[in-house]
Amino acid sequence: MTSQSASVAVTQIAGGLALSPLLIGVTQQAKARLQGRRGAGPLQPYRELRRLWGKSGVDVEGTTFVYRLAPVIVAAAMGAAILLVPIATGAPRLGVGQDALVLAGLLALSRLAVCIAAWDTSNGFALQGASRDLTLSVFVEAALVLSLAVAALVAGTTDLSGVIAGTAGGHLWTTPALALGGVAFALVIVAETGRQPVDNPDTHLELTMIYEGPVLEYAGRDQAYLQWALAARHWVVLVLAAQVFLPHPVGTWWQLALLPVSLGLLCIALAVTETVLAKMRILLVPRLIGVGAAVALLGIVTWLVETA
Amino acid sequence: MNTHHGSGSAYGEGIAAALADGWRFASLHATTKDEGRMVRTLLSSKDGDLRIESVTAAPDSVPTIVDLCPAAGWDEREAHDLYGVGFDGHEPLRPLIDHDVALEQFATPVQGHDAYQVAVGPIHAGVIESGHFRFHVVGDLILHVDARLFYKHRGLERAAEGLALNDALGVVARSCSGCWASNAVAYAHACEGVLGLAAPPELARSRTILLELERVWNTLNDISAICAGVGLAAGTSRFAALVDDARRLNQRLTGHRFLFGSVAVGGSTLDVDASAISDARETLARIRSESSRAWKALLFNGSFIDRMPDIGIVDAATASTLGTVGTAARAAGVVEDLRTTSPRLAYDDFEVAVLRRQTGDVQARLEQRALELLPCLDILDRLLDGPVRPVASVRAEEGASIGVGRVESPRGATTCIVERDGDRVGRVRLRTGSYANWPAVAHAAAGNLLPDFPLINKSFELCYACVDR
Amino acid sequence: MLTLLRDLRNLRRSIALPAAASTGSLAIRHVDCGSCNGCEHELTLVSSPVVDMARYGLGIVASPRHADVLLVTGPVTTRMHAALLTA
Repeated sequence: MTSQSASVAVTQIAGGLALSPLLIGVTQQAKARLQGRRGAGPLQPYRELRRLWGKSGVDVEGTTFVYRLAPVIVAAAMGAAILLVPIATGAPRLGVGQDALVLAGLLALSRLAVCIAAWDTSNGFALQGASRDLTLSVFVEAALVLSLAVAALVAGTTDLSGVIAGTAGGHLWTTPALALGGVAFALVIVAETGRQPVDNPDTHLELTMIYEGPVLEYAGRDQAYLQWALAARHWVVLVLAAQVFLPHPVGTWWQLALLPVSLGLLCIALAVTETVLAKMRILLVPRLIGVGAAVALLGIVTWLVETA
Repeated sequence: MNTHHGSGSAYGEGIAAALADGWRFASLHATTKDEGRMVRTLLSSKDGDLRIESVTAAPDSVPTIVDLCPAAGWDEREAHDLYGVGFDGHEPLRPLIDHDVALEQFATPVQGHDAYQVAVGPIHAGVIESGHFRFHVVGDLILHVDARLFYKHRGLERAAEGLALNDALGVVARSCSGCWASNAVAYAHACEGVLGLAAPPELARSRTILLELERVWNTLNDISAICAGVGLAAGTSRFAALVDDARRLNQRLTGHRFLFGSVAVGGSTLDVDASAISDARETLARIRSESSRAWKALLFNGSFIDRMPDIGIVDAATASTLGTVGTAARAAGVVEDLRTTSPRLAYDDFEVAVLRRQTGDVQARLEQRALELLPCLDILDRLLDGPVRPVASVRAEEGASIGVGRVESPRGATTCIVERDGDRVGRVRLRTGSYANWPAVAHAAAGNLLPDFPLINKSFELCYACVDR
Repeated sequence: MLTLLRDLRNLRRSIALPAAASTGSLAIRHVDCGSCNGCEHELTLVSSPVVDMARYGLGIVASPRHADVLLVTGPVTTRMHAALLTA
């Protein structure tokens, strides 16, 4: 392992584990400012995690190990995803490979764990949220896989490190397929992070909840796992967006240097959409994500036509 | 005001004839008199005339009138729960306030493939008042909603009994702070009817100012709540800040953000000097310009507007049948507003703002609110033309045993009936706009999607507190 | 929409709330036990730009399991008594 790949590996693990709550903090702070509020500062998610970590969990009566295990599985899946998604070209393989499809699998696994746990608690709102989540995930996963397929085609590999290298430099400006893939991936970000117009993370209306519903019953340390996992989910999809679909230079050091800027801009973009957009009618959401998948498909066709 | 006392069938026939003549149901309540339990029904005409039809329960039931006017449904259920009066022909007579009953007794049975129940409340996830809803759904589609309120029943009407007329005002009006001024003025009018007092123009002006101040903040609050219902954070924050502006103005003018203590029976002690008046005019002008700018921004937000149409529909026929009042009724095309028939208040030549598109859906109710904000500010602009001084009512006629006050609250017609017992309250009944409109919410929700219910609910923005009392 | 955002920015500047001296994190769960609705109306405003309780790290949460503080409004009516104990 060269010193370069070692430092990338350290940044990736430390950044993913420790800095991901900061992404949520920055987004929340930007939202507060946009809404005319002062906000609690970008470090607030850390304070919340500390508070939750110190509290004991409360088990729901009549639940089994399925419910117990879910937060840990979710956190573990997201931890693996952090190892999987390289933050720059020179990232070493950290034992989990770097294949794009594995990422789709890990995201699906964490979703599955939460939904099965919702079944275990048999709380009405948890089940309702879970069923909505699963319905949407059919479309979200299609859009995710197709948009990554666009990038993979352009780069000529499904290895994410290779994808980042293959899309670096001038590719973004000259390949229309990548732009179409980017549009689709933007919708995936919104859906995977549970933000508007798909879901409203600030809502307290139990009837409208999608992602918040299934986690209502968790308390204390379990809730801390889930909140960290949500932050890690932000990290994974935003890093991918920044290093695949946003302009990024060739060369590991340059990519690393530019990453914080891209992530910051993406967080602010999330805050802006969440402030000025209302939540969609729930039955229109699959259509929106479906359009995303169709756009990604169009990207694939464009690329095939272009190279034929 | 005409009062008729009939017994048994004469009561039902009298109401049927009156309804056929164009009279409308306004309120029904039970009371205990020396001769036994009585039921009184208040009817109103389009011109604001009132008449009361009374009937003695013999021995403990009276004929129902829900077959004549379904709007009386909740009133009869309440009379049954609180006074034990039976209503012949009201089947099934479900409990309303009585909570010590099995679920099957208040929930409507819904059967079918895949139909199941979603129970919400009484404690809700956000900052919402307590109430229980039972949704019968297939997937996310609502088939039927059973609302079970009265978790906040504090027995305020009973608490007011035996108090001096002026002392009971605080108890009755406090049933809800969102409609405090409306409740207080309705009660004061009822008491003044009992005492035979009339309002001189200065008193009418003072009270109208209070009612419209209350309408300003409530309307802004309703728009903010609708933005929150669809998660439009920018709109929620903007209108919430305007609500605070309006409440701060209330505080500066009357000493209380919800106007508490600014209404009294037989006069007004409200004293606002010229500098406070000019401050109020300035604040209201700012609220006018800022709210209309924010409203335009909302209209141009496609994602927001897209949520509004074609959900939570209450059409004109349903609104009339269910006795819907206020903005909800006007948005459906039932153009009625008590401000057109309020001789005791200073609404000279008031004209109801009429919507071009009276579809009775969430969009219509939202637009009706925004539309009514402007005339409301106009009225304040006209009335806040000089200092407000304390003033007393004048003696106009002989006192009566029953007095009625009706006021257009931010949520619709609020009716207060006071029966005197010497110089004290014998029985008081407060029927607020929210009370009249809850059945419409349940009706509007059926056939819509579960995630849209909070939005539909907020488009009515009813209080639980002044229903439960 | 830009006008709205600009108005909100001006609002933030004109209110100029002071920064919280020490920010922590506290989750509040609200239970209405028969209030006159005034508390609810004011609580809604506490998270608006005017007060912005979030700057102290205070937040209202949707589940009693998430909460540190139970905020009870009203005199606790007979019907809410059992529900409050459950919460």
